[in-house]
Amino acid sequence: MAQHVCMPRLSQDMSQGRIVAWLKKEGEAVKEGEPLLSIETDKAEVEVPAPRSGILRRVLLAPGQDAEVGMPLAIVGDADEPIEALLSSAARAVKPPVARPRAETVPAASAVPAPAAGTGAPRRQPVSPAARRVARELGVELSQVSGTGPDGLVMEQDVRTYAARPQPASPGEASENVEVIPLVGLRLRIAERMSLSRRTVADVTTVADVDMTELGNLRKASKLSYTAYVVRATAQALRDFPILNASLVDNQILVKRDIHVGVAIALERGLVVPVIRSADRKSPEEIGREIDELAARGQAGQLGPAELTGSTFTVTNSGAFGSLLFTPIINHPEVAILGMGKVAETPVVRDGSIVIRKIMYLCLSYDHRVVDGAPAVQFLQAVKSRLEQGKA
Amino acid sequence: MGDSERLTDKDLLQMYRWLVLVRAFEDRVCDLWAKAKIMELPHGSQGQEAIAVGACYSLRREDQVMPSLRTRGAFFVKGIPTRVQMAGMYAKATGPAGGKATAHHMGDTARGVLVGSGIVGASITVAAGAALAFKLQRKDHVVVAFFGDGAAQRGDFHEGLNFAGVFKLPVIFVLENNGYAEMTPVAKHFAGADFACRAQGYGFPGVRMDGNDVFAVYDAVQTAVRRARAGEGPSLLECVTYRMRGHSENNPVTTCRDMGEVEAWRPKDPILRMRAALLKGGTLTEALAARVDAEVAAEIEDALAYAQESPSPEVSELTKDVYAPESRDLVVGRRS
Repeated sequence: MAQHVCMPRLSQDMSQGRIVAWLKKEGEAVKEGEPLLSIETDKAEVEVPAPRSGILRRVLLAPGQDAEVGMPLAIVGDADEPIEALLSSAARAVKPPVARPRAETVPAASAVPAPAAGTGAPRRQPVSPAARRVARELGVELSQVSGTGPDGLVMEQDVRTYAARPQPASPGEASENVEVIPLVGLRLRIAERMSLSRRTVADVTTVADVDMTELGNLRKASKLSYTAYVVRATAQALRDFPILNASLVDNQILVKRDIHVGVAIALERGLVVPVIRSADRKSPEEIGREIDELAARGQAGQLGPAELTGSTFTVTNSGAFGSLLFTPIINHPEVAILGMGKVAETPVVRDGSIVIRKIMYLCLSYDHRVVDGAPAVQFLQAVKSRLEQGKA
Repeated sequence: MGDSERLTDKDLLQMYRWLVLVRAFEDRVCDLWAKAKIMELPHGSQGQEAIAVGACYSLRREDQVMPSLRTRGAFFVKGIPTRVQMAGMYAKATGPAGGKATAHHMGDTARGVLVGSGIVGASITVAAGAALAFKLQRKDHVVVAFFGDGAAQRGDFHEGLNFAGVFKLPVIFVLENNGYAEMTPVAKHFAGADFACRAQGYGFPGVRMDGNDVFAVYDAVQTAVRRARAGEGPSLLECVTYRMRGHSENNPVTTCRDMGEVEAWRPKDPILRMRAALLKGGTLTEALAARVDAEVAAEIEDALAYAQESPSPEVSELTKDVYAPESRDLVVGRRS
């Protein structure tokens, strides 16, 4: 009985493949197990064997066409049996697969010209697996490479030689005046998280001016950083405004009962956010000590995953570098972040007179999907009030 | 009189039915894989069914079987329902491992099926351990361990067999020599004449036989089982067979060999041979054989429908039976 030859499933996640070339013609005899066509997937080019012996009665898809796994590509049967039923079921089954972008090969510094449009199926020449891999890496069109191996085998060295041949200088190419830093590792992670936050969160930033003069006096004796006081005041205020201490996950607002405050720390290689657990139960001294210790370990690259995850709210200090005020990006999946501006001697009005006080802008970015303006501002005012009273 | 000669017509028909069912199941799941329908990548046992069926038939429920990754027949004969196995291929909650593991890692302790391993060969020492348990418990149950020619080249083989030999453990080592360790032919990974003679080095009998003759396998295993139950120790049974599909369904059958070799083994198919023998002996008629085929086909369809309608495991159950219960120190897979 005639049967369909279908797109094989070569791995669990393979969803479609592309026809590269038919190795037999319609009407030609085929033997079971003999290569019938070659297909290409994301990972490899592979030959598909005939499932049975017989005649290749009909080719259903052309080279260059894509088909989903399981879709009929051809009909193999005896020379004279009817195949109408298989033809119509194939017509019903075939649907164009979802267009997906082919992974672009990244050309090396020596740019290689793209193959001319309209080249048909690539010439079938023997190519070693190593040569194939290098050709992909260097963006070399294999049909242009002549092979020096046995029977014209294209070998790795042939590909490299072809790629290294002198190129005409292309205008606008990357020249020597650029330092290339790959977006990998911590930098990549930061990029992804920032992007995700701004993409999904309906963020608003509200700003409060805080009179830090009292705390400034306290610091002379305690030697604690402003950050330690702000973290403590924040943690205390979160007890009264728990909606700011939440996460939005899959249409559920998860209001966290524990208050773990992440403190953003700037390292040369990027930003890390170690976590002060149960910050509402710690004194400013304990918080200050912990921040120093975590910062030191962060510089030495010794922070482990346990210390870098689990925050429910984040505090970030750009004021230490001189920023007046800013719009911090929320640390996904939290719903708010508090940014500290610089503490500066500033003229302000008190009781009708102009006096000089130490003023800091506190900038609260919050997720308006979860937190409305009123609770956000009230929370910020609560933090401000604690700090101004030197209570923290 | 050999053990197989004492089998009744009822036994013979049952064994034949098992062979047909295992083959039908394997063919179907291989077909389903190609059409992108199922979760588990089949490692088809087509061509080797006689070994599992011949070995497991007549075992007690308490006797333990340690499957390899290609011992589908053992699951059937030990009583894991077709529906449940098919649900397993779809990774549904009604599968043998609750949708959490493939056939490599499924077992059923109530039915005497130990949990195998995807680390092929590691199961050999575990099987010896299970046999040690029986000996310490003074029970005369046995363990039947299945593995292939590739697994037999691992250190586990030496350690497991030597240990079993020294302590005269009630374990039967069934080596399915199917010609290939994944893609490597036996000639490329083994310089010896046969595997059975290795048993002599461990102090117990080794027998080599035609693994596609279900009666030969049955006889050899029954003899070995009697030995084991009597406390006389282990046996090594090398069953020579042939793997008709590629190592797994993403390896076309011709990945490592010529079609000529596959064609040469077709006439030696274990099901064809048992069928011919039963027809000749009068136990089977053409009509009865056709009925068995039809019943098996219906059973497979029923299993398929069951599997497709079964629910997948809930996301909330992600870590159940996989990790220890969550605690402060172990929080799996959730963001804060």
